[in-house]
Amino acid sequence: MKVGVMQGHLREFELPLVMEVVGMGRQYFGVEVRRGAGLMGTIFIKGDRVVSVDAPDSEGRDALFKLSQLKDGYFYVFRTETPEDFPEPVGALSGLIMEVLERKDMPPVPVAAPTPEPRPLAEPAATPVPPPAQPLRASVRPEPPRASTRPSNPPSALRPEDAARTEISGTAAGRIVAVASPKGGSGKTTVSLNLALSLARQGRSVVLVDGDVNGDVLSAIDARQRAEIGVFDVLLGVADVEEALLETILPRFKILPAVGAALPRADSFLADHAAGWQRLLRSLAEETDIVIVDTPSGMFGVTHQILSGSTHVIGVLQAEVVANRSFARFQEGLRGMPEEIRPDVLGVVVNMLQMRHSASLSVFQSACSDLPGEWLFETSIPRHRAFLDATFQGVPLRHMDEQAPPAVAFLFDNLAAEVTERLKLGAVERRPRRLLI
Amino acid sequence: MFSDTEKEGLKRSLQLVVPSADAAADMFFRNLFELAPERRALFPEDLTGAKQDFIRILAFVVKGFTWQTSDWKADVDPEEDIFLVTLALGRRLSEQYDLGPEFYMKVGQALLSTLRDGLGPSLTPEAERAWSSARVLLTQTLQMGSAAIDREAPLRALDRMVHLGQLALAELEVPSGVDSLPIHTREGTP
Repeated sequence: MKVGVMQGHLREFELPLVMEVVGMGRQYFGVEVRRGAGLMGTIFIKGDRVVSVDAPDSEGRDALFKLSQLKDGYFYVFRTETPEDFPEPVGALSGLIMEVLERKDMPPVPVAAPTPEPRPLAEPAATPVPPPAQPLRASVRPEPPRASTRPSNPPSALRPEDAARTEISGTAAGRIVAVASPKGGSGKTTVSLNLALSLARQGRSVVLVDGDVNGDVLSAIDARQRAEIGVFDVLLGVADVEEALLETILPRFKILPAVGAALPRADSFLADHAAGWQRLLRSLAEETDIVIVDTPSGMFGVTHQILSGSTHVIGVLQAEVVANRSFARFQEGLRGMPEEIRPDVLGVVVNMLQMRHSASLSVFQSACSDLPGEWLFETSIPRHRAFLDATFQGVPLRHMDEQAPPAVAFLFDNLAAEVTERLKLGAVERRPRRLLI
Repeated sequence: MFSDTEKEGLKRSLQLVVPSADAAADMFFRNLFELAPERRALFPEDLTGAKQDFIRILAFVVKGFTWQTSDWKADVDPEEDIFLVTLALGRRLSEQYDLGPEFYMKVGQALLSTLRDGLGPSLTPEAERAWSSARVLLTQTLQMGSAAIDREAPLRALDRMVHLGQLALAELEVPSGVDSLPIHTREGTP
């Protein structure tokens, strides 16, 4: 006797994710995978063991891997009587899911056509069904050294291949790029400021919006006293955005400070301004090539509201062990957002890297191996005393000495180039100059 | 699903919380309402009952995740199955209160903050990792509650959690000396 437990579409909950949560249970569960009216196969699970897998043309591990590649179709989970004699299990569920994820970069295996019901399990499929367009991709790295997987099949916007989506979303709604990190002190403000400056130096119009009241951009450039009106005044409806925007020495680069001369009431930070952020950022993007938004640390609260109005997000991963541990929150925070307001991941930049420090290097190495390859920017930012000097002088890195800026300042030019490439923004016209007179 | 060390970490951290359950529950709800002030109205003004439920649900979760791997063939009552009960609860929260992933994430965040802040260095890295993993699994399962098809289970889910958590608490052995370990609160120790 089958007792239905749940059912859904694989586009919403991919199969490894379904298996993982079913594996929490202690019943004898069957997970049927269906396409249309046809049954593609059944996975039997009990107590973190895959007991057996049946498909029309395969069984065991092979069947499991084939079924796991299905992206379109339905799942139906049921519980049924525990058999008196268990066969030798296919394996531990946790380990098998890991294997499924490790195969993510392999070409998809053709999946046999569904069998009509009642299914003749041994009957080979007559016509192979074209494989899914893409193999399943794991975009959330497993949390080592746990044997089980982390959420292995996040919603589509978390998938690295969705970098391709940036062209669409970027074009349709402007480029609004939030810079976020679960941990404080990871360098979001430094990255936001210097990245925005490098983008502006490419000749693009840029607005840097400061969403972080506590670690605000203006304090970093020793210009706190310049702000009369802040973004929260705009969100609260007490000022217009035009009044709040500060001009810089670059004609197309403006800064929208977090707070003005007076802090808004404390409880105004607790209110949900998501709709206000969405309206504000959209209006800025209409007249600007790129809007960069510096967010407070963490992925919830104000950051969540800002992300809901952003088309893209850049994660800042501090190359330090605690920051690395907490970086799972970056994925979790995004995954918790409804898909319609979730920004695409533009990339992750490793910050404060110390190549001679093994712990720091290990974070970089784990980012290389565990994060989806398309997420990690080629450019990493080292820990360098020039950052302290720049903050002390109250200027961006580049402006410490415009004729001979510190070498790390150029890394933000590299990062800016990667950002514009991923955003599919057109190249800026170059004017080569010959050396000899 | 969890390594033996992680299971031990889950059990041990619960054992540490139990003697200061009231302070831990206080801290949890304070964290939760800071993260989700708009959801305060879902709870009664007097949180005494909710606080008692909190620690019982915690006990249910720990018991649900820490069974012996060698017992995988053992039969378990469906109403004691953490997957089925959590799934049903997700359906109930979705249908009756329109709660979704965002709220579940905040609950998880409030719980982890409570454990981190409350237990301090007594929360081992293994235990923290296990709680973090448990949080993700439970959040996913609650979210999948919208795909659940057992219509009656949701009505019983929370009651079962609380009841079974009560039994689990009764079984829990709190090591001697643990009661001298205070839960740290922002205002100091209780």
